[in-house]
Amino acid sequence: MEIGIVGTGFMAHTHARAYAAMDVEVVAVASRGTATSFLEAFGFDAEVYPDSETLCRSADIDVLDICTPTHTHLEEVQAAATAGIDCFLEKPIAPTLQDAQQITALVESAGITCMVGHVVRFDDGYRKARQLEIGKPGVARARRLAPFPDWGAGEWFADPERSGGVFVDLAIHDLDYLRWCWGPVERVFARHHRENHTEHGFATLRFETGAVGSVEASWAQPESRPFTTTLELAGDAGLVEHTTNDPVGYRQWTEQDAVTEPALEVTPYRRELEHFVDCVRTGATPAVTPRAATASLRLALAARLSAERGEPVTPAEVGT
Amino acid sequence: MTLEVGLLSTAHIHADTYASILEEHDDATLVGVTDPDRARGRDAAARYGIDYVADPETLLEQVDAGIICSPNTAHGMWVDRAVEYGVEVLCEKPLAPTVAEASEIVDTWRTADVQVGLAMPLRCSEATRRAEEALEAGTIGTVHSISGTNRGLMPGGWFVDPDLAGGGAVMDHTVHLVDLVMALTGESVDEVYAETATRFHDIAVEDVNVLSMRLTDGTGFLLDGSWSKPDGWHTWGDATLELVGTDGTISIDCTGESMTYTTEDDCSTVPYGMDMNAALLDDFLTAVYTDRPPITTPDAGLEAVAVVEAAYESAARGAPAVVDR
Repeated sequence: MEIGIVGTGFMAHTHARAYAAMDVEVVAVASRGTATSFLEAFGFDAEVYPDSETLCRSADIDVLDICTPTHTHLEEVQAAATAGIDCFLEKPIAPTLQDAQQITALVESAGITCMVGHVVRFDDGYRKARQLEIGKPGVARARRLAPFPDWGAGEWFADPERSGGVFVDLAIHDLDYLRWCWGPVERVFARHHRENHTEHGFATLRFETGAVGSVEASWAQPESRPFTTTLELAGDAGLVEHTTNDPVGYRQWTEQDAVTEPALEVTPYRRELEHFVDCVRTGATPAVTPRAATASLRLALAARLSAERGEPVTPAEVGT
Repeated sequence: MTLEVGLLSTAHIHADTYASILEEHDDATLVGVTDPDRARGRDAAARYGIDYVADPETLLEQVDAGIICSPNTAHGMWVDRAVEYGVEVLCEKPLAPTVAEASEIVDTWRTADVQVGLAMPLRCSEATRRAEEALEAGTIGTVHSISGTNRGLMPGGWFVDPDLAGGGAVMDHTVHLVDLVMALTGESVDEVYAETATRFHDIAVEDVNVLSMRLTDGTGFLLDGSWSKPDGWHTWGDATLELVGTDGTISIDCTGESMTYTTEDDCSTVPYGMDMNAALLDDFLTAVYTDRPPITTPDAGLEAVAVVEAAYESAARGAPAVVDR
């Protein structure tokens, strides 16, 4: 299995680490620069192309892995679809519903396999939480709190046109996960604060079953706070609580720093990429299709619209 | 001098809590219990080893101070009686089930010669005191987003009877955190959007209480105050608050100091931090001794009740509701 990666930023590094442990070859990279340090970091013997279109035309690859900023996703998928190459697309699918729908149409008419990287669905803890029996769903609560992501080139995260903002980029993890767990959402009500770089928002969800949820996402935390997630699924016969404060299997302290990490054999990123590679090999439908990712994007867009309007918004109201 | 204290109804589970604190107290003694439910009152009096007084007026004539542990809908009646007899009084929360009733209590209190306090123990926690200090010092800059929880087990009994409680989880588990946020920020809640439902139990009131609020300065405030904890949960509930500011975040857990205790067939949480209820009672008794207002007075209680009323209005209309005062 031969992989081409578009982009050499944060997510490209994350995926590269997973590929390095998998039975695949990274043979091509599309980058506006030389990508030298990226290739050296992982010891990849890969050809570098100026853009994905040239890469798809020239390189012999099985999969194009798109790790570029959200606003470029449509043109990257276009390159893969034109060349008939299966592609993995980082989440969120796109910053707008229109882009997401065009991506879906391109993928479906080209008949390629495409999966969107909703990695929380491949997290061992979140998978286990979903399996536990809680009876009839009642209230879900999910939080995801981080400092502002300053690794984005040209600070694209700070630009809602390019990243979609904190609901579309960050809250979408939990919106997608809860939709996967508890089904379709009837309405969303959200509040939001943006100041300089930082963004913080929360949304209440009313599921079609009548269950209620809340999702909170922050890009407004100080650097001193470790990335924090909280998940609670409460039903009439059980309650699941899972947070980054749970005990973890591996901790290490040195004079320089402290390490606290889950002792998991397979990272969620590797699990999702292995799943996708398996789908490409077998022709199976991946767990998160562009249509599924678009349904989750609708919830994030509904949250953004609700925060603007100050009224509850249905997923259908964000567009047809 | 030792203050003589009477329990005015024992319907609320905190009656036992206050009785056991007073048993150890140096400056106050619990001298009697009255309760319109004679059996309940007699049982409680026997548990505390004190007199059951059938006629409330007899008890009110005898005591210096009273603690109202009645169902919510009777709070107004008890405050009226206590004030009439010149008895200083601490009232369980919420102040009343409606803005109209809460306003009457506020009017009574404003012209009364006695102190009237509201049982808001979270204000007395050490975590709250530290948050107050840090906010005052500007440690986290300007607060723009707040997220809190006050979940619990479904309490049952009169708490789920609309005629006695006036509502369910919204009535029971909104006011603590709303009051705390108002006290910490100096702002009021001006808009509420509520998602409520009855999902966990076969009861006549709501057990889901998820509120999205806006404070008067525009700060967003998310609160989950559902009765969503199963009976097998390791403790009664929680009270947490996180305030995100321009320069940092403060997170408090008012019951954070607790340890895990396991026996043959049970695993539970045992608190070892400061006793908020004891601190609350101390504040009230000091207020009585020194003739100054207790930490939480009925006007603050009315503000929180107005938020509860707006939450019910929002849930009924499916739209955000403005808080009327």
